[in-house]
Amino acid sequence: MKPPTPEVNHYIDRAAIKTLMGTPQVSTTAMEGTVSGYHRNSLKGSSVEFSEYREYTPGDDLKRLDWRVFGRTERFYLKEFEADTNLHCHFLLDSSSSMKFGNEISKFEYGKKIIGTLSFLFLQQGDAVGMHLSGEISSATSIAKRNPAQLHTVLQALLYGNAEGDEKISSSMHEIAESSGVRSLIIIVSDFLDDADAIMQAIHHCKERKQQLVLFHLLDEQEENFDFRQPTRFVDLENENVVISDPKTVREEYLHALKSHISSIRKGCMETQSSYHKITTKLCLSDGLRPFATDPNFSSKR
Amino acid sequence: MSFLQPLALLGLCLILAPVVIHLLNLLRYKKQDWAATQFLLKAEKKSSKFSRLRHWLPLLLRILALLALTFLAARPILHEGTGWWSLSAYQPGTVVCLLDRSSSMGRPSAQANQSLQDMAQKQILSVLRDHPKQEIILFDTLGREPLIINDTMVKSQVILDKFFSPTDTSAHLPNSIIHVMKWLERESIGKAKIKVYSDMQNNSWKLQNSAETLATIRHALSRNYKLWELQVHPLQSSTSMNRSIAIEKIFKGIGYIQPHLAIDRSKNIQETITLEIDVGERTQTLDLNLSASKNLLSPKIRLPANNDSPWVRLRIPLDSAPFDNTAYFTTDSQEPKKILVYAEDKKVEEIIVAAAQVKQDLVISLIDLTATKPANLSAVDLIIAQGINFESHSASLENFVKKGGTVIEFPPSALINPSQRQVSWHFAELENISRVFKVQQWNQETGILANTSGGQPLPFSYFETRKRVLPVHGETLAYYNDGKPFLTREKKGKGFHFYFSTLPLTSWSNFEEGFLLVPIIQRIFQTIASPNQEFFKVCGRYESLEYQGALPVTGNPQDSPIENAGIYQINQSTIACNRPLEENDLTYVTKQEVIESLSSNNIQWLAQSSPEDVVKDEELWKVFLLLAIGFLLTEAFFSLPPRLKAAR
Repeated sequence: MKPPTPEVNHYIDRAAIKTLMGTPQVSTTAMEGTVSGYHRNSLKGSSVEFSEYREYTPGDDLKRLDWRVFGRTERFYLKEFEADTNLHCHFLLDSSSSMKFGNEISKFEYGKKIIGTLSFLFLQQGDAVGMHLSGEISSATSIAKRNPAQLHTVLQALLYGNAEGDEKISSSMHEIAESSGVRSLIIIVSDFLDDADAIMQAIHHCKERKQQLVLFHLLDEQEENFDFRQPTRFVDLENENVVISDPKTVREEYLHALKSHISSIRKGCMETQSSYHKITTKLCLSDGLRPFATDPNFSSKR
Repeated sequence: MSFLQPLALLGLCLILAPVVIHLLNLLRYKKQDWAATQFLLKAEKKSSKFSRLRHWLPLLLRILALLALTFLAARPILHEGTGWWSLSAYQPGTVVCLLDRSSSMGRPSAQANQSLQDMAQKQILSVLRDHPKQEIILFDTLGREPLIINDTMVKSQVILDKFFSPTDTSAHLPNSIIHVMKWLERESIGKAKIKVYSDMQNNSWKLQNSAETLATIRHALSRNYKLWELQVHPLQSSTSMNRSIAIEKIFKGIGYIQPHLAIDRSKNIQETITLEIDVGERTQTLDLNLSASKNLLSPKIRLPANNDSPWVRLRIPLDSAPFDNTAYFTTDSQEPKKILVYAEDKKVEEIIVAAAQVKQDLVISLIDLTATKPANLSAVDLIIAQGINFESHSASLENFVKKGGTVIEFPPSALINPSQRQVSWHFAELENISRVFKVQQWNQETGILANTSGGQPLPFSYFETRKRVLPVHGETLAYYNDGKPFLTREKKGKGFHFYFSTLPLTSWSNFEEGFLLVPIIQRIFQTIASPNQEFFKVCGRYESLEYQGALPVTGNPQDSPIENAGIYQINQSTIACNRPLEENDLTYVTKQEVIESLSSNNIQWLAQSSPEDVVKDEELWKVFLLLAIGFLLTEAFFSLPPRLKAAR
């Protein structure tokens, strides 16, 4: 008997949608979209938002001359307005074997729910969405699209995605920084079990490409607390190496190393004005995404 | 260190339990799939030595706690002697006190206004006061069964008073120490301290005459090295003025008795004291002028015609040590000395009888010794013989001398040729008429040839002889100018055999003139111990044991002839008991002499007694209880959950 196949809608968390639906997710940095949208464009356009006056230069469109100013000052000025556009959002889901770890729900499954829910929201507000699994950057779902069918495509990709292999997240971040266009939004969902310096370099690479970065750092409760009582044989999920240890003895050092790693990533995000959200998988998704909704680097307030 | 319950040390095997449990826990690993291995590896690498130590520390503390609990159950005892660490069973230390109860212990102490006996009692009882749980085995120099005293018994003053009361005996401490050691061996007592309380009087230790006994003590101490310890507590007597009276011997004549008294004084001052003489109920007094420290007196005491109290008590004024101010003797049923004279030369016999007859009350018998049966000698005190072949009477005469009789022998008058030579004499020697043999050397200090009380020497300078027959046996008392013996003395049993080398004949020497013969024979009379005459017994000697149960006529009703001087009545006869004459001795042995004589490492000389000298054993259970609690609390702290520990 085959295990029941989860439906694609399983990855859209209705409670989270209900929480986040009323507040459009707007980028604080200028985006370069193809159509009008919620996001500020790097170019001037025809929105209702006044931007600035500029002296006429031969070749400018005469329709944009402000004749009232000419009547008062007999000089030619152009009146310019802000342009609104949509954004291209690229999701990167860490598919290394370490993402399989989890007590009630694995980090990989939790990450899928984050991506499914946010994809629904971004597509609802007209943004283009693309989804990447680490190690599979150039797949069919890698191109961001804004049509409603893209949601199904993304959910299908999530459904068939597996956490296996030992691809480092930093290398996938470098790849996505190059492959996605400038001024797009990259949302990385990973446990970031990689060298902290390599991750920092990848973050800076993305920033150099003028991409806005949102990091969802997934941690299981056991990883976060390391609350084991007896000597344990730890088997690495990526390379199956065995570490025999007495948790009581090394707990403090472990927690110190974890805290230090998180601090490094958080510091990189602060330097690049990227968003960082540490989420413990025991939280329900609506609670897990609530800090994202109120993130000052990525909020509804302009 | 040893243990009261050494079997409990088997519990040491329990320390394996936490080790095994710990190892089993380490083997029971839980398998866990893990993602964040990189932090785990980093933590393992950074885990410091202290963290690893802290990991093993609870195990170590559990083991130590079990060790401490095991030792606690075994009840360790820390004591001196068997080293700090020993798994042997504990042998409790026994304290044995040997008390010198000789008469001299009645002298006042130098430190306090009390007798040495009281001082010793105070020191022994202070041991019990400082260590209430300690028992003391108390021996004395009388050789009685030991008395076991403890803290509660101290309250029973009657028993203690009887044991610590003064006696008029002498002591032989080396023998008493042997007695104690034999008791320790008989009772299988392993560890003991033998504490000797004595005034260290020379006469009580007899170090010069007890070589064999001292060697036995040395051997016993070395055999029980670190088990038996001999502690000597010297008690110093006061140097204040003390007089003592003692009877050296008694000469009895018809109607009178003449004791030879020794009055010793600790200080040499001129004084007149009154000697009270109690003849039964009648008291006479006699004033004595004393100038020397040692005074020899021979007062003549007239005995009443109807003497119904046949005893005499002599008293000098009481001083700080009253025990030695009195002397006793009896007067009844005592016969004058009987002398038997035999000489092959009648002239010699006349001269000897004349010389001996100076004392009017002597009974002199002129008997043909060769015809006398041995039984007839039982009533004789002294034999003076000349020219007798003693070999033919060896059995009877040997027996007479060994019992205490005295023989004065002169050589045969006929010159001895080699065929006639007797065992006791060498060949006769003749000197030229122009040259004679003279006596040149003799002991002028003591003995029968000593100078007179006025310091005058015996007139040997006038003496000369032309013939002599040198004696073979005995120690020489006077020497001729060529080093040959003039007079010798041989000790046989209790008696003495004197040999003269010349005859009191004109043809031999001027010995017959009497200026030398008379004083020498008279002095021999005075020194002889008559086997048939006994005026008093000596307390503590074997002979006094025969009179156990005698009723005291003088002194306290509880007095006994074994311990106390005095007059006693037993089986309708009266006996007198005196303390030993040697107790007048005022010389003392030194620390060096005792240590050298016993030459053992197990001897301590404790001039000052302190409680620590007695018991140094101490139970250590409190230490191990505290250690166990400490270990368990520390282990509990290290075993706390991390959060609780952090909250602390």
